[in-house]
Amino acid sequence: MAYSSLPGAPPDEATEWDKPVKKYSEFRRTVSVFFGRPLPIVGLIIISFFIIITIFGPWIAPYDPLEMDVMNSLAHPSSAHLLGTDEIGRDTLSRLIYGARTSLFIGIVVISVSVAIGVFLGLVAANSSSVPHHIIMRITDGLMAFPSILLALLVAGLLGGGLQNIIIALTVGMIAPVIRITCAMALSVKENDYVLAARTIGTSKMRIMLSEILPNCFAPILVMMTMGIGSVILAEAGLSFLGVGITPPTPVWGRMVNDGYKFLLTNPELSFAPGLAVMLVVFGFNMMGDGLRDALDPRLRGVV
Amino acid sequence: MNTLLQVENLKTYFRTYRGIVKAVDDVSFHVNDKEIIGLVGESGCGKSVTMLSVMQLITTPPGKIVGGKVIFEGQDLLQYKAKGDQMSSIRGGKIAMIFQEPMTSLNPVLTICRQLTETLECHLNMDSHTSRLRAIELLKLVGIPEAENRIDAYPHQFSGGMRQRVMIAMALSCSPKILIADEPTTAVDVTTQAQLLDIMKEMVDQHHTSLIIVTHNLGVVARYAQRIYVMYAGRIVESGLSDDIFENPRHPYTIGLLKCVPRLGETTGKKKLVPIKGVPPRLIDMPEHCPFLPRCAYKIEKCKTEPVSALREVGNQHYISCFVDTQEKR
Amino acid sequence: MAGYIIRRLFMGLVVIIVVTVLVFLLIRLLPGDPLLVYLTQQQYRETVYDPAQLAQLQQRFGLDKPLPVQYISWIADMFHGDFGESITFQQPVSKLISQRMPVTLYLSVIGAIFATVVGIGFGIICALRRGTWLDTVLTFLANIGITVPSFWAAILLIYLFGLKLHWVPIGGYTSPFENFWLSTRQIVLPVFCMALFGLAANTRLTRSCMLEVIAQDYIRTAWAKGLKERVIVFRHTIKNGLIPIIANMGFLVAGLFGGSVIIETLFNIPGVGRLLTTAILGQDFMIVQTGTLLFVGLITITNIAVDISYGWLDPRIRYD
Repeated sequence: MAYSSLPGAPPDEATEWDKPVKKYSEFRRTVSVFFGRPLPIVGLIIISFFIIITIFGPWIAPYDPLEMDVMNSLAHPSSAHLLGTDEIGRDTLSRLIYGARTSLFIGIVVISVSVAIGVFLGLVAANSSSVPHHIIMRITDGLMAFPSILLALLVAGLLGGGLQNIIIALTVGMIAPVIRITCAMALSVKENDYVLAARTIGTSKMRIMLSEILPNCFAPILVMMTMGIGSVILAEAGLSFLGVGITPPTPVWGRMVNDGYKFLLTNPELSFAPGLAVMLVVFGFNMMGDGLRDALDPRLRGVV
Repeated sequence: MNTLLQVENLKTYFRTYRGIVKAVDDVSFHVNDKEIIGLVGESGCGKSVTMLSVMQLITTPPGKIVGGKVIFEGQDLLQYKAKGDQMSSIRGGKIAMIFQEPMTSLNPVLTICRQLTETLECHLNMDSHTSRLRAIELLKLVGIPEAENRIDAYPHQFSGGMRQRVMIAMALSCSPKILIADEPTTAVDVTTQAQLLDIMKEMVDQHHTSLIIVTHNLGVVARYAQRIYVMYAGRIVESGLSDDIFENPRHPYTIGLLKCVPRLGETTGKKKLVPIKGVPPRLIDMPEHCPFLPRCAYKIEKCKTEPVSALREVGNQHYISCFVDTQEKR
Repeated sequence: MAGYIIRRLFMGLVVIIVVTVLVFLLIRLLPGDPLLVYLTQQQYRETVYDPAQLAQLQQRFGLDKPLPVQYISWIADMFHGDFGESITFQQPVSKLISQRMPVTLYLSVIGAIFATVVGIGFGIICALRRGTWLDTVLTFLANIGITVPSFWAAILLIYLFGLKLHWVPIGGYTSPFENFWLSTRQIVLPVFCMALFGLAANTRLTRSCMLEVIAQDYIRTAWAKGLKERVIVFRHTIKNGLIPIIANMGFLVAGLFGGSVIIETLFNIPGVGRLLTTAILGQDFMIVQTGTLLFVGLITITNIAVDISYGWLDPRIRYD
């Protein structure tokens, strides 16, 4: 008989309950949630496509975007020019492709710089005593009272055009929300007991900031960066639409929309195409950001 | 002795991305009028889900009541739509429930008065003035001091114990036939626990309400319940009169459970508390045989090959879900 | 509660001061000398200018004094109603802005109401009918709404409704008091484009907040008490769910004003947004200063009002 003499003694042979369970890993869960819904996948596809175009642009584009062909100006979409040409004969499709490179470049640089500075300031604000904290937060509040387009427009308009100035302008516009969100995240992480424990054993503030607080902010920062690129590209399009920004003849999507507006009745695709491109790219980044956020930590909904 | 509530073969499953969780797997029990019954089991055994299923408060995805009947006053409640008017009139009016977490169970932006009077207005059709007076009365009954002043306060101005009393007052305001108390004392301290239970017992005696206490605290049911059901891994493994269960447990799980509980005044016999070895099973992809098998000290060959035993009678109103006659081994 | 209000007002005041300093510094410290521009324009785009004239202009606009003094005198002037004179228009800034402010306000208020009411409505529908096709469609549209560049949406709509269908005029603005019907047809597209982002954002926010509230314990208690669904939604859920949306109001207003910059330019509407854009591009600092301050000031006031109404909505904050 298979029972032992003492009631309460451990079972003496393994049953199927004791078989090892497939290791549940956080990474696997994150990945499966991200790919569980269709939209983040669509976003990822769009962004990959966008990145490929950016990298292989010069080889893919059928024409040189600056090449003028006045004989063929304002041509409608045809097999020679898939999206037609503009008023001085430049191929729209090629200009779109080159414009992608500009947009992505600006997006990445602006986000990297603003997140680097913003996260740093946010952490400092969260970790310092009353005075520096309040100074940083009040200035942030002040900056956030500006519509970000207006802020970027002010800086860009007053600095002048050019790639460098646009980047500076957009960075200034992006910094304040980053600081605000990072500070809020860091403050709430600070409330946790493991931070208290670190303080109790005498860990220095800088060390706590780097090894306890920062790793826990990675998820929201990553999400913020992904969705931020979308905002930056949108803002850059708005600025170049208004005429501020990269000097012609470099193709820039926003300005292409503005240039095409004059010919709306005859050649609507001149305005539609670049605008659609902006929308798709921003959509891709936003959906990816949404998916990332849900996969990493659904509690962030509404915050980031 | 009428049967007020008869639950037959209740099954509630949850879909998760790791598989189907059979939280409640073929549970049957009944409640007579003017009776206090206890539903005990460890965390995760499915006792709360059972009660939520009776009230049709299961969030439908991911959970679903897949089978069984809940017969109350001649009607199978599971035939009613969960969000429909018929079920709503039963909830609160005929069957009331209070929950474990008083800190989060009250709406923070509404006054206590509003939260009390809305039940009264809904089920008893009282006007606002009468309901307010009745609400003050109810608060006094559950022992809230200065009820007339405090009634317009917000929940965050009350302590945990007082919030739980408010919950009890809300639940009993329409004199329901059955009150389900889901772990009512787990989140409060010991002194408050005793007070809350006494209040509940008193209200039950006065209003002739039946009480179902769901808990993992054996001490609570020992003192108050007349009949007890023991649950494990989504099934009822033992049921019987309270005294019977405590003095003469028959199912290996109950036996093991009672061995872990220290008893006052026990001077002879073993002094050591013997825990049940092993861990509770995951409720995903449960096999057909008895869920307690890996941890059972009484198992026989039949336990591994046959599906889990149905409840069989071993004494007066005493049933166990086990093939083994544990009397022999004692 | 009174203490809470006073503290919020004080903080708001601090922010306004910070904002004025920021606006001031932004304009003064950036490179580019407006007077040079003005002078060279005056002298028919010659690059040689008369230093004496420059000095005279500097004195006239007070630009030769040290910065803090300029700041103080600027603030003092504003309290007297003197907002300076526009370099390009040669008119007092206050007149220019007061002519255009009502237009922008009119569009913004309508836009705000539209974005809030419809956004909240859609969000509630999505939350209550979660998982149904209605939810899927509305959520998808909301996701599109936050990604569409407003100027592009404007151009698309102008193409469709203006050029092809001729339902609305392409641009321009008439006061509703002069010709209500024409005015309305003219502002439909601009208001929609300005409010689109806010509408979509509100829908998403309402949806996720409502879903979060629905999952709370106290909603389960409300069901357990046997309350009807309609009561639970309107009395228990919405009040809790609205709190984050009210908090978002400041951003909504900021978005509307930001949008006005682009949309007014595109639709040829004589509002503060278009004025500001022209002024920034033309480096007309007086207008830029005052216009920016106006926008930012209104946004800050909205934020203060929002913070205060928080206290009414959420009693836990009141006794903070």
